[in-house]
Amino acid sequence: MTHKDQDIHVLDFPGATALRNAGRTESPDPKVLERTRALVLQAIAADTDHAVPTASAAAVVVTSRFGRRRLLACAAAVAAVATGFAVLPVVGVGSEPAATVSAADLFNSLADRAASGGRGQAPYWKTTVRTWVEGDRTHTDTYYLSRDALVIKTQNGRTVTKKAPPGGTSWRVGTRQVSWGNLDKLPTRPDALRRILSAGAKGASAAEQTVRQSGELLTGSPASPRLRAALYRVLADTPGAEVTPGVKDGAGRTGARISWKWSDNVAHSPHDPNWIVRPSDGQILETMSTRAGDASHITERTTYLYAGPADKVR
Amino acid sequence: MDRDEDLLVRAAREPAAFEPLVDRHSVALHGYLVRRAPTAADDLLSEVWLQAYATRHTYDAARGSARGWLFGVARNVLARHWQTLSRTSGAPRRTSEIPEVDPWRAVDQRLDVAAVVPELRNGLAQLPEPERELLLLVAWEQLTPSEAAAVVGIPAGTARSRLHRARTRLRVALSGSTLTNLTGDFA
Repeated sequence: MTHKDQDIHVLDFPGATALRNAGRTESPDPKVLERTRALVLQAIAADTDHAVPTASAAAVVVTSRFGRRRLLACAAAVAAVATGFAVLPVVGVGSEPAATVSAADLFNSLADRAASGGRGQAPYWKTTVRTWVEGDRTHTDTYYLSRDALVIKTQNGRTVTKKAPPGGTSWRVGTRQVSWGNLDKLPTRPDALRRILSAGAKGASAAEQTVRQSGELLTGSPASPRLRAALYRVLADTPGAEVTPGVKDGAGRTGARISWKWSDNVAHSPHDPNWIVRPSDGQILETMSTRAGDASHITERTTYLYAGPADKVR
Repeated sequence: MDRDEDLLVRAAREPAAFEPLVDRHSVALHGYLVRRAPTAADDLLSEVWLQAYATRHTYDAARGSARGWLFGVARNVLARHWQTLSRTSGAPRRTSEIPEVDPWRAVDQRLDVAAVVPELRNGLAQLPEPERELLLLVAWEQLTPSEAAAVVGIPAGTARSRLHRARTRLRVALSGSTLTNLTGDFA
């Protein structure tokens, strides 16, 4: 009797065919296969000095200016996030603890993904947001932000329109307001952008302000891919971040949780911010706050079911 | 066409040799993951391949097929995924978001959806977990007993003994049911 015969006999019982049939699955989404292949090719490219030749890999291959070290770091970040490797603290600048190696690598990886994103010139920035605040029910609303107004489509079918203040829609960046049209004028050199974001604050408050305003720009503005990449690079050098891979957001999507923990002397908020990001495309899936000193006590969740450009209000 | 085993051995010194393996085995590995962790399978597939690539130099062709080794990597990634979910289970979740920390639950749901008769479901549920895992590796992943043994890290002879016991238990469990009156099998 051959081994193959034995293999056939293993399934010699009533119902074996039904069992085999129950194991049938749909073919995976081609995008999943393409993404997987691209990540492997990226890792292969990091181990060789050759460019990755396939088109599918082009979207995630980092630009040459970062060189081989960055490429390795990005592949390592992806792998670390995916497999749950332990984070390794590094010594930071100044008195605050630095971002861990995995946090910094993750942000740099997100920057690379963001930089390769498309640039839309749509008139609206649409976000579909599920919000939950401790003590209240969950609400899901869709926001259409334009240069001069905000249209809110609520979950109960109402449409509310709010006109922007004089000067149009703008975002707080450091100590100034930056309009829709001036977003592209913000510097995309990380050190210059950091100075603007942290203006008017010091120490932990400066870090908190940088994180908070970066998050608002990344989720709620039509920032260009270059600006998004620069924001992530600023965050890569912002101290206090820790990464927990393999967590679910409020919508059940898998991502990496980034938690900032600062001293108690933060000016703006008594709550430590947490984000859940999706390493594969650099999207922020959720932001949430926890009570200071109790990371397990979530006080609010904002889950971004959609964030991107839109041509019209639907 | 190069054999999987040759490619995997060669990939230790020639990384590019690893690439064809991704094309050949991604669908099968995704199937393995989706049957046991349906909501996380898409993300875990990348993780499996990155882990396999990072540890490719540990493959020893003398100890089994490349296919069995890859499924072993997938099994480890899956186990680590469940460990991570268990560690984070203190976070608030809605009922629908309870992570699948027990592969049997996902497997049983699949059997339920496929309308597999209760006798077989019960028979599988009563199998010791090591026997059930081996049986499903053979039935669903179409691995040989030797390959299934490599996946779970036991000698091939031990795997065959367990599979034999599993088959016997299922035959006994199903002997009183009307199913055995059907000709051959039931699909």
